[in-house]
Amino acid sequence: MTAWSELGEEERRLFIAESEELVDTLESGLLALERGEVDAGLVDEIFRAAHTLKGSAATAGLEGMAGLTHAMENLLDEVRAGRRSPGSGEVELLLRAVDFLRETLAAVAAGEHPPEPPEALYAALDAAVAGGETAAAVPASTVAGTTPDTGATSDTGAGSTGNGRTASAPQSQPAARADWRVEAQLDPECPMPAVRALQVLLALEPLGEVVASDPSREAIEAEWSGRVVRVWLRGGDREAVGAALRSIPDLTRVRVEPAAPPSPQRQARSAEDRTIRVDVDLLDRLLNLVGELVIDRGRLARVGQRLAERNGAQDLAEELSRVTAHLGRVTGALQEVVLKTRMLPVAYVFRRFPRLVRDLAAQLGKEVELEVSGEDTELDRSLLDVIADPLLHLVRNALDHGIEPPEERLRLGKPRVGRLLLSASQEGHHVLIRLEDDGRGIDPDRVRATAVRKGLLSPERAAALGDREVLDLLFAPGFSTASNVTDVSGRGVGLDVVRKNVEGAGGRVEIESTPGRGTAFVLVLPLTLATLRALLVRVDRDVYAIPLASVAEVLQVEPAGVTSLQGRWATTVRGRVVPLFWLRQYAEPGFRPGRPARPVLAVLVHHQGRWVGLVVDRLLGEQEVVVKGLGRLLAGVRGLSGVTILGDGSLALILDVPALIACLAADAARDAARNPSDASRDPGPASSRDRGSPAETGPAGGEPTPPRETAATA
Amino acid sequence: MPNPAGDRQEEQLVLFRLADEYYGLDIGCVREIIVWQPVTRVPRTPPFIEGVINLRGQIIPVIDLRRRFGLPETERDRSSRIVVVEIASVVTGLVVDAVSEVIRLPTSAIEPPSEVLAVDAAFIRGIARTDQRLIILLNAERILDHAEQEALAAGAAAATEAAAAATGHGGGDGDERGTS
Repeated sequence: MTAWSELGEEERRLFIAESEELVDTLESGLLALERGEVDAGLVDEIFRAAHTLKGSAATAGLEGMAGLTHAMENLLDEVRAGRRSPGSGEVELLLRAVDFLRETLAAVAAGEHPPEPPEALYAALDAAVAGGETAAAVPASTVAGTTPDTGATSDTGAGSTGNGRTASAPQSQPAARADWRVEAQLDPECPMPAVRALQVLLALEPLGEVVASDPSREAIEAEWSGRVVRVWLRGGDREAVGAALRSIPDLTRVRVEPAAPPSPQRQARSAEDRTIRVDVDLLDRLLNLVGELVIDRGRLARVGQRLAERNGAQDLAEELSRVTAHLGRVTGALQEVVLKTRMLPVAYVFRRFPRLVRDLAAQLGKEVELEVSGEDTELDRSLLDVIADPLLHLVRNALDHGIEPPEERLRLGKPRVGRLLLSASQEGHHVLIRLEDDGRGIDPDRVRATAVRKGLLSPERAAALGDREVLDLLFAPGFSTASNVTDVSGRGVGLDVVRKNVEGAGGRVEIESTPGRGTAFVLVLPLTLATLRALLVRVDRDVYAIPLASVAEVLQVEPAGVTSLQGRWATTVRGRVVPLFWLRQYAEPGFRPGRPARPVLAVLVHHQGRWVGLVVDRLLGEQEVVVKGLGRLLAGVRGLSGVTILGDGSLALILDVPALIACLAADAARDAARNPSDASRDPGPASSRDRGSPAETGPAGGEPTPPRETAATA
Repeated sequence: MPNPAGDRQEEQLVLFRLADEYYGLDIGCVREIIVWQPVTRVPRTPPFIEGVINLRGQIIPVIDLRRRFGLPETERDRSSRIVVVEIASVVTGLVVDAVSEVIRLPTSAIEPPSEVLAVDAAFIRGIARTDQRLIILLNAERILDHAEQEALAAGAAAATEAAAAATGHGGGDGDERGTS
């Protein structure tokens, strides 16, 4: 056994990373238990986490941690064996132990001396185990039914003898040499468990070599009062074992199985054997290299095209094109794999919140129910790192300032228990993380007043701001609506930092709030910081990349097919009205397209279940592009999700189609609002009398409503 | 502002020209100076943001300092440069008319900006006089902070508007109900 201080840097890091995951599992399991989700699988999972922690703590030479996890394991084993139903007292106790484990890990991470577990905690755990012994035992038949075999080596009952703390953790693989693992369950009413256990050992000894047993022979002879005896036996066979044990009284169940595979824990371990931990920096470098490769592949393809145009080089060009195509497939696959290695479910970030919310709510005297959904949604690892702190901040905010105390809620006619919804979902190329509370909401007037008081705005400007713009003030540096800075959320990090972090990663933060009803923050994040297939288009001198996933098809629209609706242009595609936006309007907001005299090229994109046409000058082809962020300065730009470097080193802006359409639609709406009387006028030189009904034939309607062909008089 | 030369009571400045005035940037924040190259414009940004360039694989935003300071615009020519500054690990390019030299300046020669200058006082760290030249010392950090604020505000305003339009109607038909 090594001392913790002798661990190498790498070992220490691995130990911490692994242990943190296990502590997380332990904690989320305990919280689920507290919510009443008692099932054998769950208890088992918690037990296994504690057990594995014990093993690795012992290996790392962290005796305090090993001892404490051992005590936890004892209590959990009682629960697992059905002798103890996990009440809030037990869960609280175990959670306190979890806190200690975290402290230990933090100390180890910081290179400090790990703390000693408090005596009181041991005493409480031991007492809980002892209490469990005297509690009414569950009939053996149920025990058998609800206790799946885990193959874990536990020291059942050892805690009650008071030696739980000092007992060194048993080897995690006590019986690598064993052929059989024998488990005998004793009748809970059995008056002399130690005698029966010894009988089991004695009966098995003649059959082969007893490699290990749990409890050990010494423990049995000292004083033992557990209910499960496990023996690892080398040699012998299944029938002989069964026969040898048959004559021993008070055994309610005997299980004999090969010592090696089918135990679930072993299986889990073999899966672990096939995974390795990789430094994220390495993955980052790998991704960058793949990115370079993708760019070079694009260049190679261009060289091939040029070669093909040259006389006498046809065969070379053809071969180059074949090689390039193959290279393309390989790079594509490589890229996919690299990206996949970087994806993690958001659960990695989400799972700390149940505990956090529970503790914070208690601390603030609030009652809050946290509902989490979409934890399986995957996100690039680096983005998970980015959102962890902002989310933490938002959750704290919601509990501190959003959700009201129970009495206030009742007075307002709201349910006593506040609700906090944390969800993740994927929408197109984005992952949305939404945190919604049903609390006070944000009062725009209070925000205005605060902004003025803090000198961020003049009273006149504040008054002139719309309510939505006012909400945006929350993100201004140095702004905090909390009238009193509290221990919970007044830590100097404001929403401005939240926004900065999220936008720095190419995402954005949106906020919705209704006073008295609640607030929702939405983090809109790119799926990955990686690459995508895009359609390259040219408008004037600008090149844009439209993510292929958004593109439905490309159309040539004849002038006669362009109709006017509500002062806007549209066309009809297979009976559906498709609004047309000139992409030029994006870079030149003042541009007003007239009725086209020649056919126009429209890229049909999906938008909210409809089609919208983006009119472009030219198509440049389809290409894999490496997404690069626009950087902090330009993170807030609407309509773009990044930029990419083309084969010739020039840049193309990658369009964020939903935001772009929203942007163009907003322009049009503003135009219409500015000149309401013009709504009937044709957007261009042409004119139209057709106003239709706004509700049905709004330009983004795209409904299969037959468009009333307008008097296309141009 | 990092002031590595402070101990020696001296500062090293990169001197550049903008509309016939001399400006100085602390050399500590200047990463490199490159010849002006065509910039890819980025729509819907404040006018002083010229766009982005590809600096050996890194995408960096470029700010037109003339426009930033409200000075008259001119044609770019062979002496136009992009001063690439790095502050708090954020790299940004600043377009200037010409870079003249790197000078050392005794800290004592730097005075607070007292005169009325063409440039917003918020961007100025001080002024210095040498060889009958007036040098305006810029606070690059402040310039970038402001740029960032304004760019974000522009984006946020667009977002607000778009959201309003979206709430009003999917395609915006002039109905702006969604503003609350």
